[in-house]
Amino acid sequence: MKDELTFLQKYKEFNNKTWYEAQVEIPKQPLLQTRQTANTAGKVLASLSKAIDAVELRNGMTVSFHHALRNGDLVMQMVFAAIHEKGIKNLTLSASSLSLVQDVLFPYFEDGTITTVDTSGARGKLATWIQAGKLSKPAIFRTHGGRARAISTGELKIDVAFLAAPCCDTLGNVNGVDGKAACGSLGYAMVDAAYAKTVVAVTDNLVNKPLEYVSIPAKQVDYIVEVPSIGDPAGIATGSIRPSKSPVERLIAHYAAQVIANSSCFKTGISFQFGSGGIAISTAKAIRTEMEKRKIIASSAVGGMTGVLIEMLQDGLIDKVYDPQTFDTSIIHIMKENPNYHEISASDYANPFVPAPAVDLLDVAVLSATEMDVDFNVNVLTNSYGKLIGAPGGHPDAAAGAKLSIVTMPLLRGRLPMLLDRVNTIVTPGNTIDVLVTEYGIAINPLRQDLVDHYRRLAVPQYHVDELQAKAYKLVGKPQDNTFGNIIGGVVEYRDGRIIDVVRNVK
Amino acid sequence: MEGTFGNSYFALANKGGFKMNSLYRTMFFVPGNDPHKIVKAEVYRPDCIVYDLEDAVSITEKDSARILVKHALEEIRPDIRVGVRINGIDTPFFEEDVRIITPLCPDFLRLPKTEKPEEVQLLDKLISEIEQKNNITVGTIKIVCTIETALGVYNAYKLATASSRVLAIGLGAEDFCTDMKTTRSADCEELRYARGKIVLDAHAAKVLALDFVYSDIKNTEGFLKNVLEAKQLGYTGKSVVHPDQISVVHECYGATAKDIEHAKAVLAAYDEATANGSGVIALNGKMIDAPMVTRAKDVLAYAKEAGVTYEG
Amino acid sequence: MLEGEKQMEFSEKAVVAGTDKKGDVRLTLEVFPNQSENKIVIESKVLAKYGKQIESVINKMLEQYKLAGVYLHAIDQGAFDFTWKARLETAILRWQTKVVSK
Repeated sequence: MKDELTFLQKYKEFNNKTWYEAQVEIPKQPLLQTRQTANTAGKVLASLSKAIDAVELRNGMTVSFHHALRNGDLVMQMVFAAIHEKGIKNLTLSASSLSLVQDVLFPYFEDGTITTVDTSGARGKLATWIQAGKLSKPAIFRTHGGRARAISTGELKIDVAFLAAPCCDTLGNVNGVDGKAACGSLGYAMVDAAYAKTVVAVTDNLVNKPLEYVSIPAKQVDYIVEVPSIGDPAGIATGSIRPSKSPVERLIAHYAAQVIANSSCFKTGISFQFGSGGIAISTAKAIRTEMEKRKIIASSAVGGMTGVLIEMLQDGLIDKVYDPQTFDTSIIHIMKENPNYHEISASDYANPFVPAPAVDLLDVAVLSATEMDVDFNVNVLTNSYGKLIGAPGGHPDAAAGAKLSIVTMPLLRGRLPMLLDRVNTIVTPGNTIDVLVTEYGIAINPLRQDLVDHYRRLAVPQYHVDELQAKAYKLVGKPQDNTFGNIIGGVVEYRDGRIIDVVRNVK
Repeated sequence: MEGTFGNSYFALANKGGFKMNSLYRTMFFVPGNDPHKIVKAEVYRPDCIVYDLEDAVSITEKDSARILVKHALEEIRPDIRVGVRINGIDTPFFEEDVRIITPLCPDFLRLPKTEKPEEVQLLDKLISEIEQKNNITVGTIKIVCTIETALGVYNAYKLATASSRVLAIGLGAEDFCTDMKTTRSADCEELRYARGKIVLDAHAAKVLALDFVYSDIKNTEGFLKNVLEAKQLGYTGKSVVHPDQISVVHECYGATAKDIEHAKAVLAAYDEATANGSGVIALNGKMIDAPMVTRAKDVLAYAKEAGVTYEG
Repeated sequence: MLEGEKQMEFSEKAVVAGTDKKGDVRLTLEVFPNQSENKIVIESKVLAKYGKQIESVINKMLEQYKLAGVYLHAIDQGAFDFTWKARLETAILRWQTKVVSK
């Protein structure tokens, strides 16, 4: 086990202490220069196979992909099919995240084409493989800001970035707003393009006329390959952009809206992040109503964008929007039309080593959880059984940046209680989480005595977090613990590079 | 009511609003054979939950539901008023329902199709026997009568006064229409007399009055209108069947900050005038009479019961 | 206690209690007076978290009614303890009624 981990110099043996007690802040490191000098001659290549030759891809290199096409992505499988044909092995797959559709890459794991993984999240067969420790070393799970940090400081060196490009001109300018596989913001891809050694744009929409709207400039793109299709629009669109139908979820959203509307930052100039998912959308809608009533205008909305927030932008309730990932394909055209709709890179969004990442603007962030514990630590990576199913994403970044971080989570999911003594995997540390909102009521982090005082007369049932847990256990009983093995399948990195937890194999 | 669950709550500051109260503005019906719904009922904070053993349960599952409700009362009783709607007196399930459920000391038993005061007295007697056997102070468990026939409406005052246990009477619209050989309509014209008589008789007997179930869940406008009508008629609460309905009723029956402020001002003026021995009591140039003072006291008592805090 | 096995030899005498709805548990129960061993099969998504608790509830209930030779098949949709107890009690009472009425 020690051999597997020697490359992770910042790894600390994780024991059952609250993680942040033992830590010292890591000083900001300087960022590398972004790419300015891509290849200019003969950019357009006839096939992926030729591109792999041109970039001189060798065994053991690191290749990267962005996940803005979500479950509609076809690029990763096409690229690996071409790589596989050439017999190249032992590659590090660095993806901004791995969606369920990437199960199609499983054969390349089995046969040693891919032996290391650097990602935000993992699901399905890949997750099972990773968790069982079948890679050559533990996977690294990073936050969106953390990945940008690692790339921009040179800690994570990408040899070749394969960039799924919904629209690309013959000079190499790329955007995500045009074309049949339009996905909106290319926030993740921007970081790879700025720092990778070589960048190959893979597009199904190669145009002769230079692009008017440019997300990634030609000076960061070395080669271009045109393919019939980079992504399935049905898979690119996410389902979780509608308000909740379930009364329990709507109740949680109502309580969350109460907390926000009664906070001291709820006034003109407020900045917020809502994310996707039924509860977040329902909360945003309730907040909109309250803003209209009190004539409040938000200075900005930050993070993954959905229709409800863009409608507020169009209706003058929000001044500016900063979008690193567009969840709702119906709003993509507004990115082109409205100059206050800003597409930003994952680095500008959440990189802790950038002078002013967008998450630092936040007054309020509304976040979800797979589990939480009585120290307010949040898990979004593994489920109640400790199985790898999700990703840190921008969760720890938004929680760190926001003045008021709110987690919305049902206290019970079926018989399973969600508020535990200790989460299976700590992803977001409790000292960055302020309020837990459940269908039974809210609990405020005791570290925030100012909030406890402020919300003393809030019209929402309030509990001490231990009381809330006791209420759940009285209903369902205390659950048995999971048994884990000794294999470390992956390490969980906090946004500044410190290791916050590990993912062991489930027995 | 997408996105909002009660805008008046933004105006009021309170934590205690979620303690158990005796207002019975909402009686939330929960199918007695549905474990998931039984568990979830309390999160919607109705003033009262009613576990239903009657219409929500099929004939073959009456035993199942009764035992499930028994265990629910024993093991996961929420800190909210809880009642059980038992099966009617003329059914084979009535006696066993009373026998099994009463020892668990629910706040009340709700009797469907109540027509004659003797029925109420029979239930009263059965409850007394069981209370005695189980060391429960006799008289603790109340009775709520659902009136669903013409004869029941005619006898409403007698039913309300048939026993000191009677807490409330309410109208069962669907079966009442059947008994009247008419049909339900959108404007509820066929219920007009019954609705009026029941609330009148309730107040005459000094018991609570519960308006009928409005089952068109999707019609939020219609429901709001229906609740406002009921409130205007003098109904003290409503039977509800969906979580979304609860907040609407509470909002309609809720005292706003303005109401509370006004009530405080009335009482302050009254107290001052009484202390000074002056004959005429006025607030802002308007005379304050006895009914106004009573109303002001009611508003503050009501608000206190609902857990709304206010200074003074 | 066996997990996931679906072959149980019930006769047409067996009684059923509970439903397949969320939060409920559906039980099939039969008592074989000539046998002393119980055969209990539970299908549940939460066995890893509540298997021991469920076993304990079942055993207590069978003890309370002094039953042996019980075949019990349970399909659980995340029922809480109170539901398990209620459905077990219902199944046992239905069995007793059936046996008496023969």
